[in-house]
Amino acid sequence: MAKAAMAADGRDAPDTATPLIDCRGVAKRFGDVQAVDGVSFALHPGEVVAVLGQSGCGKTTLLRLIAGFEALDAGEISVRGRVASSASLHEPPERRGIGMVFQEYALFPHMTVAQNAAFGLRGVAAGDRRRRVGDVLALVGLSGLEGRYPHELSGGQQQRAALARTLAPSPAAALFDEPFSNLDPGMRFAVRQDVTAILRDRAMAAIFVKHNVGEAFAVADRVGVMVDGRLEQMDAPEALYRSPKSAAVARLVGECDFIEGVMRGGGAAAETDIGVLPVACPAGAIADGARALVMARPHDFRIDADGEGCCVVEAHEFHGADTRIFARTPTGATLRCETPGYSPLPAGTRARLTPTAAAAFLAYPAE
Amino acid sequence: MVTIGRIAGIGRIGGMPELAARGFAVVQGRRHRRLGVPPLGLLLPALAVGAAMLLPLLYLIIRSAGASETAWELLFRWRTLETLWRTALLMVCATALSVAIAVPFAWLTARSDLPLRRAWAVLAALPLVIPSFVGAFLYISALGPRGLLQSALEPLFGAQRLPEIYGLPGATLALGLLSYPYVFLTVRGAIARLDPAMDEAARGLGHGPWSAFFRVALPQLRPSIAAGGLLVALYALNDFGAVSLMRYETFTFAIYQQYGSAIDLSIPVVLSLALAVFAAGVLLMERRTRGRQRYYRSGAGSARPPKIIRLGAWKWPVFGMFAGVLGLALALPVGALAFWLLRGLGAGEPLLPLWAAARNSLLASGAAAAVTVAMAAAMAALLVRHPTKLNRVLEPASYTGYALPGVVVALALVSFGAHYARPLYQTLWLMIFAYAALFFPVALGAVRASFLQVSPRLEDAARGLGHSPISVALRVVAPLIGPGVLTGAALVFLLTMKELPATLILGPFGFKTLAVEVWSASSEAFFARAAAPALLIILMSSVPLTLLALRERRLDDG
Repeated sequence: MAKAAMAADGRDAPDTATPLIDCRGVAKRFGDVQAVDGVSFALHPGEVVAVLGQSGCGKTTLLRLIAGFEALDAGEISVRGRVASSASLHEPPERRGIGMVFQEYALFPHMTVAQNAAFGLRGVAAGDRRRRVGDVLALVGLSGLEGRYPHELSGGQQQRAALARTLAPSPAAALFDEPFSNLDPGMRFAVRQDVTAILRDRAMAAIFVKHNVGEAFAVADRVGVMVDGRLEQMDAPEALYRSPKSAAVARLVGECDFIEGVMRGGGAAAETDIGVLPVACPAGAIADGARALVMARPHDFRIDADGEGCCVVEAHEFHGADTRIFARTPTGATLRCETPGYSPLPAGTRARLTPTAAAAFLAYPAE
Repeated sequence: MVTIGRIAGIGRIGGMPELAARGFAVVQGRRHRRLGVPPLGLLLPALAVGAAMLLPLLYLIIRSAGASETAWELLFRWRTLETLWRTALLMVCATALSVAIAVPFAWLTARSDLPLRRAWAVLAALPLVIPSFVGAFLYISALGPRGLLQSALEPLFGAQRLPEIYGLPGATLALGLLSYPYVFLTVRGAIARLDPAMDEAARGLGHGPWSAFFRVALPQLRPSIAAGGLLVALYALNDFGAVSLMRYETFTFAIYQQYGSAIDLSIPVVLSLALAVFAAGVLLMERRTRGRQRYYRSGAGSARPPKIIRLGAWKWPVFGMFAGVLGLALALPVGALAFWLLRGLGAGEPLLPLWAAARNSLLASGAAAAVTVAMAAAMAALLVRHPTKLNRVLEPASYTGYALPGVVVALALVSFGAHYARPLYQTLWLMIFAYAALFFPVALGAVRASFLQVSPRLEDAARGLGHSPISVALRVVAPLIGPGVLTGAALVFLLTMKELPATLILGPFGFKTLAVEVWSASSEAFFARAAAPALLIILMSSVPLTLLALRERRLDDG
């Protein structure tokens, strides 16, 4: 009953074309661990979505549930409008037409690059298969290496071979599990650029699972944040960064610190030990007089040495383009302040913090 | 060479593979624990194999429950206890001898500047191919009364008598010398996995090479010594041929005698159960002492080659020790066989009947190898990929072969066949099933080790690319576990080639293998007639062992 109602709701919802992949209340438990807990989201044709989270938050399990490598406990996953996974039904992965690129690539060690790439082309005539393998290897820039075995490739080449293998059968969507985490930083950037270009070029929908925020923001149209198996929020990168719906999400999508405060001015400001700060409340209004946690990002404050200031400098770190100064507030919280160039302040210096013009403080209800 | 220690499974009964099989992430990187119900296609074959492995033991228990009172009385007689004592004594002596040979051999071939050390490392594993009864028969023919040594010494010194070879000394010598490769191979494998930095750390803390060996390396090798020693102990416990020839009455010998003579078949059945319990006790004891083996696992081997110990003045004495041991364990048996063969040929002994026996041996060993690895693959797939609570039953079931001597399995199956499986009775099938039950743990160890090296991600990737589970098994899993399967098959082949009691008891009427030929000739003391089949066994078992060694060398180089 409930399921039917849910499906009907989905279909009746206005202005949504049939999503490529539709997850509704997906849940999966391993032993005592609720790995995925009621996750719902849709992936639309041509869209690239990234799922962020700390290791163990369930993001890889979510991907494996979508690909069909795991059976779910509750909820439903539809692929191209047809139910592929539910508590009572499990379509095997080979019939879903979804490609997956694994963190460790999982290239078949006993097959050459070309054989790996051809492995998904079942029932394709030999000539056609050769052509498609040639095309897809050219696309990822591996032409000429068809006869190599995986162990004869560099890390970046292995990554490309794995991508070629996934793209060859033209799947409806491609899933990427931490695809760049085994590459060194220089290589990582180049491969990431190429992969996103290829996806855009083919208008292929994709889901990336990542723990690197910058990369997720760079590749995705929408970014989801998973905490303890729940999809806490899914939004466009800038929206997610501007107004994370919870303190946990805020922590995951960018460097930030929290200071305690009390709400004032009809929920538009918070009184803290470094002064009254203008705040927004993305998690919902908080009543005046209620205690709140105020989030500040490192670029939200200017810091100046001031004998009368209420903060004390604890330490500083030079990062090249900027210097980060750690300041202790009167109640003992530590705030990071970003200052341009090399602008250190000696530890123990008294200092004053001033909100910058662009500062956007967010308040969350204190527990 | 190292990985014949991939006799694999042998050395690692219950080490890492077991942990991994129980679902612990052993390999670095993420490995998802998959609980839940395994697919029927994996579950049913594995359950069938597990049940088959338990069959001999269960049958023994059932039959013992209905055994006559005389049989139980006999069990608790003083003579039975004496037999037990002799069995235990032989087990301890043979194990001690093999460890005493194998550990220095392994260490010196791996870490010293011993001349020809690579050649020694290969040669040192070879006594494995000499069946214990062939070895025993040769030690008797060479060192026994009126043997080669005595007849050579008589004209020189007028020696009439040599020290007695029959009994415990001879049995210990034969079993220790021929089974030390089990310890050698497992310890060699462990040495290869030792972190050389540990040795350097010890040296840096002021310990000399000897002190570093005894206080750092040896404690880390202890689990592998115990695992290899366990194999030797079980080998000694299960041995039938050597002890019979050496006239040292152990449990297996007594059981076979009772089987041959008794009207009351429940007597050997009860004795068999007692032996099985004793063997299980030995297995459990080893498990206890193994303690926290898993914590000894060092990190991924360092790239730096280990320091080579300079033997200095000890170089040639050590060389002499190697030459002496291998002379006794390898050169003497082969040389004596060649001598007897030539002598027999000179006396007009015909070679022709051997073709039938050789063909039979090949057939039995080949079939046993194929059947056993197929069963092992089914079991390994379930144990490695779908660890469930069932493992608690299937694991011990898989290892019963270790605890059940050939005589015992054969007896259980003869009795089972005669009562419940008439059509199988006295057929090749039942005999091959006995081999499978006996050597299953060896095959499982090898297959499972290779299974563990196949990332489950590969299977996922293949499924994601549109291949059905069967297609994945054939096109991805099978080629990747191929090497392990071959290792397992080679080992089962070699062990079946040497197997005697099950072959004697279960062989169809008129079905003679090379081992049976050697046995009947040697027990009648027709040494010359036994020489040709014995040499053939050694030759035929050397082929798979050499192939394995060569392949491993290639892997090491690549």
